Amino acid sequence: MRHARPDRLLLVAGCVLAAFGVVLLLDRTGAIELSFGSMAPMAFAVVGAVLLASGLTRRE
Amino acid sequence: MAVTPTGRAATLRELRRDPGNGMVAGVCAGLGQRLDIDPLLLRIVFAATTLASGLGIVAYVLAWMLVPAEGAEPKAAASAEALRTARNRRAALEVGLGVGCLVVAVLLTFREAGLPFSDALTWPFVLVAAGGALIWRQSVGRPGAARAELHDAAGRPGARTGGTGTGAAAAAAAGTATGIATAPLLFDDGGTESRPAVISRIGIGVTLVIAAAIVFLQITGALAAATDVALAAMVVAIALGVIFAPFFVRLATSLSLERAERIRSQERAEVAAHLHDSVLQTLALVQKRADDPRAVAALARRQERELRTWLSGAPAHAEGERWLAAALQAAAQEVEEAHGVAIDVVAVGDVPLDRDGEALVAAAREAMLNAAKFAGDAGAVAVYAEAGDERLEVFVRDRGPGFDPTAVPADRRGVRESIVGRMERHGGRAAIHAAPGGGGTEVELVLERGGAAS
Repeated sequence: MRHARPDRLLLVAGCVLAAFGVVLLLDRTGAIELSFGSMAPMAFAVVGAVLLASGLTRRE
Repeated sequence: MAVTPTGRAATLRELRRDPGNGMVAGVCAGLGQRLDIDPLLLRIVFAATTLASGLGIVAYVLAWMLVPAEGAEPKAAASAEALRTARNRRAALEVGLGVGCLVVAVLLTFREAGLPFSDALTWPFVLVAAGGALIWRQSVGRPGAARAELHDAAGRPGARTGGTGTGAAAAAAAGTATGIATAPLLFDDGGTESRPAVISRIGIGVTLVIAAAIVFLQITGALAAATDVALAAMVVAIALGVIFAPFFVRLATSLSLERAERIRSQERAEVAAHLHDSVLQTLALVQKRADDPRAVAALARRQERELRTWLSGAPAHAEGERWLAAALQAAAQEVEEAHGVAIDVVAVGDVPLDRDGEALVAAAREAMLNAAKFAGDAGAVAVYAEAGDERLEVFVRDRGPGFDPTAVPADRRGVRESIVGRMERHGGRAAIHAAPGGGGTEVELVLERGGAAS
């Protein structure tokens, strides 16, 4: 019988974006200081993680 | 007979953009449909997050990239195989891009942290990764490709030869014509790509790896010394090649012959199963209705038509995509008409059929036939099918006297070849749950969808 399963892509994308949001929030509150040098790899990591999750989910 | 395709909507409820009803790319419209929310609310959320931090536009562009548009995939005219290939290509592209982005993120992090890494390592690494990925992809291929190739060869007489021979003969001939059929053994492309495309992809991969080595040696100043070493290595390689070439040729030839024999054996089993399901069943019906010349003539005509179609290599059914529920319904109707036994079909979920799916339907038809023949007096036969994300399952249940599967004589091929053997040849499995003495029989057919219909 069919069991409801979480959408892995949306789960990963949500978690990664939430983590990104937390980092931005910490920057906003002054807990950490973000620069372009630290934002760029983070942005690449977000896009890479979502693309990887999408590809692995779609693959049959 | 009752058919209840209750779950088709469930299998098709993947997230899709809806550009037709959208304002930009249909992301909000598609998401709204999926979540059953007014798209206007989602648009407001995207606009607010865009104005507040810019994240909304990033999320929108990501969704635009990742979520396919409604109707973007090939539909009715395309086969399930084409759909799966398109999905796998897109998946491979996304995995490649994702890994690339993550590698760039790591490199940028190293640079930001001041960890020592130089271009002498970075660029050769990038070239080696790209070339290695190309070679790896081509040499490993996709799971199930070899099985699909066997199916192509053994599926039908004349399928590869335009009706002039057999699939096995064609495969053997191909192996002979090319000298040694080593390419499929080394570079399994699943038979879906042209030979020049395969060779050019391998060539590009090898070139990239060699370029990486040269770049690394050039940057580190070791190119001159490496040239001498390469020359010596080449001389040794040529000498070894001359010595071992006959052994490699013999190995490749024997592997090629073994592959041809495997294909031939599969084809024999397919032919036997088909003859059992069609000709032998018709002959049994002819004996049963010997007192009705018109019925016998009709049966003979139908069998002749079916056999001619099969021998010519044309599909037995009309061109176009067949779906599991409809195919089971058609098979049940056919058995009902031939044996006068009611068959109730219930299908939960539905998928288009590929070769493995067609084999599942053929095995289910054989199980229905057995149930109609041996348990028809005990009431209606029940067929339950479920198409899930991971597997297709069909159960054929009757309330007849039951039987002991281990006591079936060796010369009876119905259960052994047309059901169990057929399912195994197509990557599935079949189990017979029978209780001798009136407990009825249930035939369970399972086809994993890792290499099956999408």
